[in-house]
This record gives sequence, C-alpha cells and structure tokens, in this order.
Amino acid sequence: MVLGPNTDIEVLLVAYLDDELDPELRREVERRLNADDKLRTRLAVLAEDTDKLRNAFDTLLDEAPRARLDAGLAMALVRTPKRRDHRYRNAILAAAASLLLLICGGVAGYFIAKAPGELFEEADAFEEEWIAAVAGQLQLYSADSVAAIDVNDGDQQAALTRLGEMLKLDLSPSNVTFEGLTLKRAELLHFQGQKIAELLYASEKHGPVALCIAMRPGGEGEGEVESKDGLNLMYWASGPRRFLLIGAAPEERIEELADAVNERFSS
Amino acid sequence: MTARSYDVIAGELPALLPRLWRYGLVLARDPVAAEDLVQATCVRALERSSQFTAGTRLDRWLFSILRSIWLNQLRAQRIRTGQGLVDPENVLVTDGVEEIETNIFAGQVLERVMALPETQRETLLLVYVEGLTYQEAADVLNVPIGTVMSRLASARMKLSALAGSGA
Repeated sequence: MVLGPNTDIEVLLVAYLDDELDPELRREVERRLNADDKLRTRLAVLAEDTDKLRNAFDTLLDEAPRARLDAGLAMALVRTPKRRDHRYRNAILAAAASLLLLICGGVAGYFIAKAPGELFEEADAFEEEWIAAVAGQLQLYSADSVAAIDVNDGDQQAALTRLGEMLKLDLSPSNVTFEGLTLKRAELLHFQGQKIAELLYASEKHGPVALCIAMRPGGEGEGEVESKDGLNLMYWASGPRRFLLIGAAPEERIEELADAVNERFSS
Repeated sequence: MTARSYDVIAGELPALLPRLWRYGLVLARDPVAAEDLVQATCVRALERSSQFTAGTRLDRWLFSILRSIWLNQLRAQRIRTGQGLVDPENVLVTDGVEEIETNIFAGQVLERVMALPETQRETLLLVYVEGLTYQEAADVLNVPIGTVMSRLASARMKLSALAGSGA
C-alpha cells in the first residue's frame, strides 16, 4: 500500500500523529485539518495518549517472573553450548549460577555472563561439562523448596555413608555440618561415567549453598572466589578429588566454607 | 556458530528477558505460556547465533524469533484441533469477546488492549511500547507497511471509542 491522498483518512491521521508521513503528505494532512472541523475533532479523539499505553505496558515488566526467566535461559545455555571454544564455560557458569538463583527465590536479580577468559581459567573440558550437569540437576528445585525440604535423618545418614564410601571420605554428620547451614539433600549424580556427590544446604542468613565433590584427579589446585550479583562460587582440586562450592552467600562466607571444607577433606 | 555472536547473545539475553516475556504475554495472553515462549526463543537464538550480525539490534531479531515460535505453536494447535489454518486477520470477532482469564491485565488500558485481536495487540506493542518504526514493525511482523498502518488505525480508533464511552 502506497500512502497517498486517497488513503483512508484514519490511517493518515494515525501516521501523522506518529510522525511517519513524508513532508509532502504531512502538509496535505495539515491542509485538510485546517479546513475541516470534524477532522480536527477526530484527530483529538485519536490522540489518545500513547503515554498511557506505554505506562500500562511498562508496569507489566514489573510482573515478569525474573527468577524463572533466568532459569529458563540457563537451561537454554546448558542445552545449547557453544562448540569448540573453551570460553563457553562462562555461559555454563552463567547457567549454574542462574539456576541457583531459581532456588534462592530471586535473591539477587540477574546473573550476567562474565567476560570470556576470566572464569575457570584452569578448568578442563570435564569440569565445564560437570558443572553443566550440576546446573541441570539444580533446576529441579523450585524457588521456595529448599528451606521446606523435609529431612529424614535415617535416609540422610545412609546417603552420606554411601557417598563417603565412594569418595573415600568421612562424611559423617558432624563432618558435613557447617555453622548456619542445614543439610537438606545428599545425592549422587552420575555424569560421563563419573560419580559426583552433591550436598545441598539451606541457610537462615543467606541463600542455599551446594557443595559438590568428585573423585577425579587432575584438576588445578588453587581456587579463587568468583562473584557476581550476590552469587559466589569457588572451585578447587585437592589430591584425587575436585570440589565445587556455589551459593547465594557473601564472598567471605564462601571462602570461609571452602576453607572449612578443605580443612576437613583435604588429602 | 560464530564465537562472537554467541557471546553477544548470551551476554545480552538476561537484560532482554522481561521484554521478551511481555511480548509473549501480549501474544499468548498467558504468563506461563509466555515463559515457555521466552525459553524456546533463547534456545533458538543460541542455536542460530551465526545468523545474527553483531552490531545490529538484537531485540528486534529476538522478537521475530519469538513470534515465529508462537505462530508455529498456533498452527500446530489448530491442525490438532481440526480448525485448519486461519488467517489471523479473520479471527478478530472471536478474540474480541473472549474472556481474559488472568488478572495480570488488571487496569483499564491493559484490559482494553488485551481484548483487541492478536494482530492489533502485537502491532500496538511493537510500535508504541517497544518503539519500533512502522517499517521495523513491518519487518518483524512480516507484513507490508500498509498493514501495520491499518492495524494501528483500527486499534487506536477502537481504544479511543472505548475510552470515550467510558467502557
């Protein structure tokens, strides 16, 4: 449809209001407006404030379920990793962190993927994929569910014993208890033939924390706390095992916990 | 997939999620369906990252993808329920009187807009809320620019009439 003087007048008026007419047509419309009272009235009617529209729809943005949208993105990133470029581990890290936001009940807004090369410098390919697996498993927890998880002491004890046998570590209740944290789940994950123990903790003071331990040599020794938007994590290796600690807790807290974990379980 | 495009998309997506959800909401009129649309859009955008030119508007590209996924869902649903393929322009009577089941659209303006036919709603959203020009909207919607104009005119006349009558 080419706009011309014979176009439906309502279409012309709206386009005029939206400043989408070329100068010639614009002048033509103004000429008609000047000459026609009724047309001016219709213009006034049409000039229903688009600001009202915009404001109404902007309030909709506040309704957006951000934690769930982030989790959806995290899943998308896990499912669609970039290939043949080890910078994609950052996207997977984003996945892990964003999914943890899901169980933090929206504690800290968005997780923005960090610039390439800054995270997990020492991680090898297995690490990246393992973390993706942890991320994938974490998404099974809904936003408010961690604190509400009921713990059966007998079952938990049995799980800890099994995991301890696998890792050749003493995972007795006293050894996996940390101040301010309540152990909610002790689970065994399997990934690429590798067994991984995951301990999921609820906290009163901050968000949930997950500790993952894998029996697999070869990781790098020293970890550093990475932090973004209230979510912190630390990754390190010690002897034949690798550790990942991730949670919505302050940096110092993650460091403190990592120290405690390392102290109890280092070889 | 191009390393750079993928990174750009992954990096910018988080900030765009609420706007994508809002667009999905205008199309599907259901918040949960909108969430699914957003996630499906993320997957497809990442899969097709090589088709995105870094430096161009990512939001426009994502709107197109979301819309395409929505239309495919509609088409599949219509075939399943035996309704066949219906030209969206012709659905307007039914859409207009359909009850809006969710109260997320409370408020006169939202209620009135969400009662409009789908094609008019989404055109309004793209032009007046997302700020696309007529041509950009035409590109996203894959229609001639004249269609954008007539949809806007119809929608605005309808909204003005409703406002005037105090409805």
